[in-house]
Amino acid sequence: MLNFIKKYILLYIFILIVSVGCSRNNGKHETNYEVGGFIPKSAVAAKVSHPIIPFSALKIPEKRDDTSFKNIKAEYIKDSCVVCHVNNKMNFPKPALRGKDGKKGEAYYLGGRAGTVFTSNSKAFEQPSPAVVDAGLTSKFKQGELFFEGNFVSGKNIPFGGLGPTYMKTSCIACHPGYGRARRTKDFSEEYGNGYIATVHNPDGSIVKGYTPMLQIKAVKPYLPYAKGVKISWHEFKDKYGNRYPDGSFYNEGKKTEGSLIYPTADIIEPLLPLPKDYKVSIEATIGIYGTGLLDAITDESILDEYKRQHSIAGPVKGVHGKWIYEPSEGKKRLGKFAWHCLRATLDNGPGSNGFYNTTNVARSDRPHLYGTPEWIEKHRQLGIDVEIFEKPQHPEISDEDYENFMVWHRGLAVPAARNLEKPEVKSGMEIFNRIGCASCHKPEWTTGQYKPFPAYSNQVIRPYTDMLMHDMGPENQGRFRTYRTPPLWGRGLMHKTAGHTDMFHDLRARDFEEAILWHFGEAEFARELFRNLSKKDRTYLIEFLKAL
Amino acid sequence: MKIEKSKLLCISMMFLSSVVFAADEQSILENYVENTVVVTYSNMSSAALDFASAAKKLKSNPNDANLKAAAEQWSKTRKFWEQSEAFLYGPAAFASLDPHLDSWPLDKSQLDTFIDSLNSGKVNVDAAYVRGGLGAAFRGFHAAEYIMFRDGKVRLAKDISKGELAYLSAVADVIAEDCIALEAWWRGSENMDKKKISILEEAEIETSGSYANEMKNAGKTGSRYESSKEAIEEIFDGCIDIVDELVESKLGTPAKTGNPMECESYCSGTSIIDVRNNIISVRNSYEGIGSDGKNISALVSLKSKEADQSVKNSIEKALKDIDSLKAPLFKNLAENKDSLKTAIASCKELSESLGKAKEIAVD
Repeated sequence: MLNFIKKYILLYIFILIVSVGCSRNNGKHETNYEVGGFIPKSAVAAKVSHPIIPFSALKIPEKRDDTSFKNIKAEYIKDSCVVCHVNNKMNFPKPALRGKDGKKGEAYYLGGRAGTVFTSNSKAFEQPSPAVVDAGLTSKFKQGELFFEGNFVSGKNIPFGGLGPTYMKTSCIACHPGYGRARRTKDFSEEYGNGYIATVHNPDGSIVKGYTPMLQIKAVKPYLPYAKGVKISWHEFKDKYGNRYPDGSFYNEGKKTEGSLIYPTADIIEPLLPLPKDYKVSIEATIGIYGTGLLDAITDESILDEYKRQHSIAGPVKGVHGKWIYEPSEGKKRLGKFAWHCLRATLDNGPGSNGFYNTTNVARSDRPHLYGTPEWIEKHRQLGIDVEIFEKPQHPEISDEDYENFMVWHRGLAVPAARNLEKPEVKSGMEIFNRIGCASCHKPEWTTGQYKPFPAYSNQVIRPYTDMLMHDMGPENQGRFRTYRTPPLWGRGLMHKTAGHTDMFHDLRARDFEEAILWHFGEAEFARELFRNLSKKDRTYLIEFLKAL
Repeated sequence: MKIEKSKLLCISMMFLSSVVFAADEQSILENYVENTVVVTYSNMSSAALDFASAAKKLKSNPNDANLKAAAEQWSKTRKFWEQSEAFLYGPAAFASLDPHLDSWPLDKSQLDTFIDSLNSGKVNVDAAYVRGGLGAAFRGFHAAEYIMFRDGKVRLAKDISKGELAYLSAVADVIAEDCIALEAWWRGSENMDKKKISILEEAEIETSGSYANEMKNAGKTGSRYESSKEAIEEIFDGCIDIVDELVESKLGTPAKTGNPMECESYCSGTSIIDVRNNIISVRNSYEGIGSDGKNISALVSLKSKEADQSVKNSIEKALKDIDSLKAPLFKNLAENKDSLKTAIASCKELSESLGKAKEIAVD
């Protein structure tokens, strides 16, 4: 009997503690002695001890026994919830900071031994990996690099010929300065350093009939582009807290951007082809290239394992994997994992391979057809412009050898090593990163599988900080879609050195790490809330960790 | 606890030598940015202003003498540009000034179409039009070169249309703006000559900060360089990159394909001059200009005289082998076949020497 009473007293204390802890509103910690609350049915059925969830934590209070995390306000999810509902079944390996010889240890090798270089200046994203050098492929790498940096020109059978008839840019580097991400702009026609591609789409995200998935606003005369341009507008955004932290300070405190978050919208200028009434135009950021060979070496099975982990637990994070895509070179379907919407499965079939073709419209033996639409051809015919030549396969405008070198370069771009991992603030930042659930989507570590194109990339422990899955980022991040593949974080701390800016996120709405975290809504809003509720010092530490990657 | 005098002396010496060494790196960086980078860019923007004046004079009074004068000013400006290509990192890259000034290859077909539209009077061109409405293929050194030179020679004034002359003048103005912007990015706009500043303001070109200060203050707050070693590594990588470009592209591609159109600057026939100036750019970065021993070379020499000498020898050998090429390159590819191989091998050797010296300098 005594034991029975003891148990009830303990349970009462436990409920009291939990209900106090779970009651957090508008960033202010309030003591909540409300007795109303519930324990999810699944927890009861599983006979696990679970804190009481107060009804005030629910978005729809009537759905009191709903076990879905979708009904729980993000601000009510605490660090303690993250342990079971976000980080459950995750490994948090602690690679050595120092080797036995006293040199930098495995923790610094974000791209594994075969894929990491210790360059941290403006050329940090441009280096050949040790795998390239060791295999004697440096010259091929350098030759391939010429096609990334070179400007394609109009005309046939001349060096770098084959540009157009329509195109986005004359070179790859135009969108990938310093081989990374480009910056935000107000002017979509800006040729270099402009970080955007534009899509003209229907409300469901499908491309409007007649338009290419990447809108082409340039053309070699006499041909016409799909539009004269894209108008980009920027808008202020205020969250429900007035862009303030719980301690009262504004976001971006002390910066020129204090208290401000802004996001872009876009519209088409002088479209060539008809548009439905409900058309939309979205802009998306170009992404980095370094390390993509290593991401290519992650197996589909590993990605599916992570997908299953996220779906096996009751929690806010439910990543979606890409579709199965038939890969002609492999004769089988592979899991989509590249680009913002996992629309490309392998490096051989995109995104760089495809981007090269989409950007310049330069034909090659594996992409012999015009990057264009029947509607574009028909429009030209109506205008009396001869387009017959584009209705049949094109003669390759880049040789197989040059393209093969380009792919050696693409696959072989190394990841820069991490920096400053032994600084106490960086160590604390990593602990916070894991504790508040960032690591669930920004999965720190993978082991690559067998990788035939670059055998040295096989069985490497790499740390890209992505789960290779797409996540719903909320209506605040609605673009063509509102799900985005978790972008890798490796090398991000070097962006200001390689490209002179720190713009990031799917449409470059974030001007630095702090803003990027504050734009996490949807599945990741709980982490945003936990970040907001950190002390100023801890917020700084978390960002110092990101800068060290 | 007693510390022996000798140990104390030893510790003091070690401390002092590390201080002296750090100070050396600091003065090397100061010398590099002030006497090599900023001086080169300053000379370039001044030459570009002279080129813009000459192009304007040619537009209002087209004759062979004025065309020759404009062509000479173009060559002078181009020389400084090529002598800056060992420091294409930083503002030249992130402010897109490299592609704006030196877009290559030449898009002859689109340029001809554009010139036709100028000649037909459909388009009136000025600097604002070139800056805002046209892409990189229509501006910079090679667009200007195409108007003034053909087949390795300066054209005749009578062969150049009014439309082309107006276009040349506009391109020259934009080249000057871009060169001034590059100088301002490094020097800091507040330290610029008033005339140059007013040109930037008129063109609504904004720069911020001073990259020179960031390099000089490496390791301090406000600098993107976390240490002076990191900045020194950047200087080496800039040198290695341009030498590798000579190996793989500027010399390597024409040698491999035998195609005259692969020779950069084939219209003026100055490919070999470009390449020579690139090596000078490496020498100026490594040995400094009037550096009084405060240069990268001294830093390497302190640790390995052999490695330092190897870089210096490689630079001189590369220059000698480049000088032995018969100009113009685009007309003499077959005759230069063996000499090109030798020059490319020398450049490879220079790249390797620089790589070894870098390892030693930043170790």
